[in-house]
Amino acid sequence: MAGGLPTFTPDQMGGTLRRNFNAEPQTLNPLCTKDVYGGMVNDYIFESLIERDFDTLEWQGLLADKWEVSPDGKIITFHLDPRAKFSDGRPVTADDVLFTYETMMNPGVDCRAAASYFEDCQKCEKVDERTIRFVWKKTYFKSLETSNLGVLPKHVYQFKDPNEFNKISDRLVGSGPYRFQQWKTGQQIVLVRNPNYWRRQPAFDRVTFRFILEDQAAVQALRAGELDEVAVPPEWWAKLQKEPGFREKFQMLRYRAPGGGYRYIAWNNARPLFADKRVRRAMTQLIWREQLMKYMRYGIGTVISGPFWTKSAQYDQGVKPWPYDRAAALRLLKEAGWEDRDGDGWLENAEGKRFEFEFSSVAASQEVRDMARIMSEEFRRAGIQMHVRAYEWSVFVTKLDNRDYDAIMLGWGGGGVEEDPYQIWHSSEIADRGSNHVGFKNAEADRLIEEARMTLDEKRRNDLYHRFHRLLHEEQPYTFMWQGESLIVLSPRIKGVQVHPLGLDWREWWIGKAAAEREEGVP
Amino acid sequence: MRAYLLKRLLLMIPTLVGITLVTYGIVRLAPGDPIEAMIRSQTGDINPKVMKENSDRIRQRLGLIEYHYLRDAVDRAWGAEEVQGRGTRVLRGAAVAVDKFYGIFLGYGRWIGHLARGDFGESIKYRTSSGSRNPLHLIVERIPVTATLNVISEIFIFFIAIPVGLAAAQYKGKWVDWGSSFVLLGLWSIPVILAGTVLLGFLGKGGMGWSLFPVAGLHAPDYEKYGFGRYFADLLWHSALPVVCLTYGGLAYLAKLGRASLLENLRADYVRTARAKGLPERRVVYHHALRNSLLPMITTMVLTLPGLIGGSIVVETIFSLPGMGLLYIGAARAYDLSVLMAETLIYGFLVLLFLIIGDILYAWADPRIRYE
Repeated sequence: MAGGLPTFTPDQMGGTLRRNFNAEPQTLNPLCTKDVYGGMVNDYIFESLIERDFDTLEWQGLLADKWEVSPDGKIITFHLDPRAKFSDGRPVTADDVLFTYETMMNPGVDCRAAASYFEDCQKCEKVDERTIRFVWKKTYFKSLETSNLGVLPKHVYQFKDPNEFNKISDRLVGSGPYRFQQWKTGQQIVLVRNPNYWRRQPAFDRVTFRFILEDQAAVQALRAGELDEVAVPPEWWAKLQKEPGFREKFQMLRYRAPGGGYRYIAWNNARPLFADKRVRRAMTQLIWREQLMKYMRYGIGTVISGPFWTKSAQYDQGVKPWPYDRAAALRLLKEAGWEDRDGDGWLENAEGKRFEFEFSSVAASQEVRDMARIMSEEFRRAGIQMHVRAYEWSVFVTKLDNRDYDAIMLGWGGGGVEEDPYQIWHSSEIADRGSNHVGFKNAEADRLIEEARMTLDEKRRNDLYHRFHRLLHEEQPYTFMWQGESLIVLSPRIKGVQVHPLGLDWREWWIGKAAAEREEGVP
Repeated sequence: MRAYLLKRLLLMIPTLVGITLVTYGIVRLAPGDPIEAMIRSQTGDINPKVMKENSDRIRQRLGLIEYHYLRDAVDRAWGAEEVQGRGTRVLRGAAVAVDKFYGIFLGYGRWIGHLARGDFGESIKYRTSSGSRNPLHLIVERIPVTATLNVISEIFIFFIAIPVGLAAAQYKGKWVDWGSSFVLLGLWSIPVILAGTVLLGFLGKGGMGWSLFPVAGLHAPDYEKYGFGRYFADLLWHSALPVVCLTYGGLAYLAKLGRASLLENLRADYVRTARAKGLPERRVVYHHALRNSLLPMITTMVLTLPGLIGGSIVVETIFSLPGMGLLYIGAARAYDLSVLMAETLIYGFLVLLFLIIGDILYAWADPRIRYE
């Protein structure tokens, strides 16, 4: 990446990048943050071994300038850059990587979720001062990505009692371009430039994160020149688009980066009602997704036909989402034995049982409840009775775990450039309250998922994923709704902004000396 | 009097136990599994083994251990749930309930035990600027935010509502009376969420109207560098909009109380006597009637004092203020039991204490009242 980033002239250096969080982080632990905010702060302070190029999405060196993957994919060796050092001047060594790994795997450290990704990791070993090796038990295409740890300095974080480590909530020392300075509750987090940074210096002297909770207040703060960046929800995006002069003055960036997740409706495959794939497809064809997205999300997002990131090679662009088509849906339902037999306007099966189901939603989500109302009207016109019920999140989760639902609307978060569908779709994940809560069980799908995991060749692997994608499309265990988009508004003073396939890279940004001198209220 | 006071103070103890036990019980009886819901909303869906490990750890740390003695006994005696008959199932349900209550009482007992040693536990969600997770420190850090706003607004309420109420009583039936009543009741019926958003949009910086006031927080980002004068001015500037939100709705109550109280006194015998003596009307109203009518208002004000540390969730959210309201709602959502219990205990204690103080003041102000 050293090649991709700009070198700044002295006139471009200085100033503060003022960002906003719409909630305060719970903790700033170097390893185990509990929310996205903590992770965003850590990005400025810690560095990983390798990183993806923002444009090509290929891996490139960061703390490690070279790395090798054995032909069977099981042995991954990283060679650390000899120039790499922490902000206190001490070099980054294999011991630090090993320490990071061991801390994460320590059963006493509150980091079990991250550690679970290493279940198949046989060991992590130090080869010499600058070389570290991960040995995996199985061939798995994500081993390189998983082995790519954010490195903590051992001499700073060493501990005897794991609880000591768990309690760290603001001691952040890493090799990244910024150092932690202050976290004032309810006010802001302040990071300052790491003068010892071992690579090219970024432009800003400081990065601050304010905690403005209300979208309206955050937008106003941006307009008043107190914030440089605000992430807005779709309704605000639509409002600002229409405001005269706003679009010309501020930089409004809309893009689909990985990690945005997607929204879906799950039709409990284990329930007799939704066991038939024709019924599930009919349900999908009764939902006018484009129209719902237009009215509920101001047209922001992409209607999808499968679970992968739409811009990735995993997603099969040839699979088009089932269109909204009531006639086709009624035909499918009739084939499956559902038709209005007694002329009362509702569909019945051969036993005279009416087609009705419960749609469970999370009480806190107004959006889902609104969508449910629209959908229930659509279903009613097709002769299907949908009862909408809202539950508290804690109750909802229990229902999900017990597979005690007919249909639910939820979203999967995260997801990366490349995803492994195993956790959500493999039949082994149905039992023990695994993530396959919809009860999708298909031998062909299992085989494809298993084979793809072990296929290191990208082209061949993606062929398998395309087949898996088609299969899901046919089976319709979910109605895949849409993938959202990131909506970012930037102050006009931020220069050098580009939208990459991977999203925004703040390391390219600058405001310049002149703007920096006009800054007020610098902490 | 002393015996009475002692009795009242001692009565506080069982009342506080009751308040905290009910709170604890309600939180524990919340449907679903709040711990797992919390883990899931924090880290996304994670693998069930990890989930179990994590939730066991948190349960252990919070002292939320579930017991299954009776249930297991039933299962041992009559076989697994699936093979039990209807009668046994009812029995099993009862056993589960008893186990649950046993767990609650034990957990509550443990909380009291820790409390007796001055240990309020540890917040799982919040920390202070200095990194402490002690609920007491959290509360102490947040009280100034909430109290500052409430004290300023209470002063406004007092100095606006009382004169208005008295004027309304003095000119009963005239335009001052119905005009003030119309305006104050009108204000009282405006929802805070609407008023806050409108104020923010029209008077807040970067809004559609005049960019007069800051939109978030109680201080400028660099307030630590300010001298006292500038610090204070900055604080007032930042609190302007939230204070308006906290004030306007509270005016009607006190104004109406003042009006009723003065009217009652103006009809009293001693006022008629004063008038009959030929005292000027000003002196009758301001010297005699007014003094007596202020008494119930003062006691009412005293009773609202514990409310000064109870923050407003709506106002704190709109203006991003790290006060008690957000702490309470955030703790409730995150199942942060130690914070919830500490807040309940402190708030409950203050309310009870001020109830006693209010009663004492009442007796002191009104010689007709005696406590035995």
